[in-house]
Amino acid sequence: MKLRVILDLEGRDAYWQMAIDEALLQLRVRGEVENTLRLYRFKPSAVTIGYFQRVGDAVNLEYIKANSIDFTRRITGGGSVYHDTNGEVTYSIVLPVQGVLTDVLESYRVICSALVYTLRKLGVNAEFAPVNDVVVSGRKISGSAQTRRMGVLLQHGTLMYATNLDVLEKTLVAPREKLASKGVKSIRERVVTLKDIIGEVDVDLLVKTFIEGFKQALNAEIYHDELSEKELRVASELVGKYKSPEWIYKR
Amino acid sequence: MKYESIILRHGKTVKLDVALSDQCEIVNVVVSGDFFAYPEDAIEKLEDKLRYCNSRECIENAFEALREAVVLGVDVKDLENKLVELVEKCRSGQHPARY
Repeated sequence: MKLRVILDLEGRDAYWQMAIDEALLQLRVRGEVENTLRLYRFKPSAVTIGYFQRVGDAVNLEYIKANSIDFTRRITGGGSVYHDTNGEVTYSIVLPVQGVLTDVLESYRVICSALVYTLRKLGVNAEFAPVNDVVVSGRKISGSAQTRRMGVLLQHGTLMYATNLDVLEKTLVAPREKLASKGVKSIRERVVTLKDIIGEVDVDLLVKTFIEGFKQALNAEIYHDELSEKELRVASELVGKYKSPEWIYKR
Repeated sequence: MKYESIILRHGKTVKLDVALSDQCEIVNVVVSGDFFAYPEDAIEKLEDKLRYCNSRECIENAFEALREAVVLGVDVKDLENKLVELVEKCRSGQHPARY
């Protein structure tokens, strides 16, 4: 398949990033954009919560408000995520649900194999941990989440190369039962960054390897592009939703 | 009105926040957590169908909303059973179990 790649690494706020992802999904459903991979950053750092989560169960609201950290709800399930401007590259991809991507679990494995490829190329023994994680020695370095609309999937996810894990731990709430099931007592023990493993990270090399990872995972022919005016216009119509208390406190 | 929460962990965490009337009818229920459901609105349909249920039959019928859905990280049958148990204990006059 052909895969359009958009490098959008200058950074935008969480509301715009979520709006662009949804815009790409909508436009792919309408057949108005090609299969697209976008790599981006959250600027400023922000928190997103899963579609089914309740804010109070997923984030430390007191800390987030005291530190003016943006937060919003995703259209994808899964858990809460702290997105560090200077420590995470985020990906999103829109693809038709067909072939090996038809089965939900298998589609997570296929798309996450791009992350596994990237990390292994960088010398890290990463592995896919179903449903939606990539781990190194049992510690999470990447999480992904997917939604599907009318034959198209949107999957987005993280790659933590130098995320400030102290801030991450202060912003997120993880149920004690969940941590216990992973054999750890704190979020800090459960996650790891690339920098923790290999030292300073060359982000340009990381991004280049990441794109190669998607090329391998999807057997894709890559071409580079930029966000179109139409994509930005559709996204601009969605930004308000992601900022609205009605959406953020939906559950 | 009685408010109860059921938390279950099956790979992912799912929480049911249930409001029961004095007649043990489900007045409101919110299913939340870090799980995945495809399509997502199947969960909202389940919540709608569970409203005003006060019997096993009604709850089992409501869970039909998930029959065609793919739900990951949640043992749906366990969820259904725990909700039935909550309502039946309420109806029998027992204090609902806390999970």
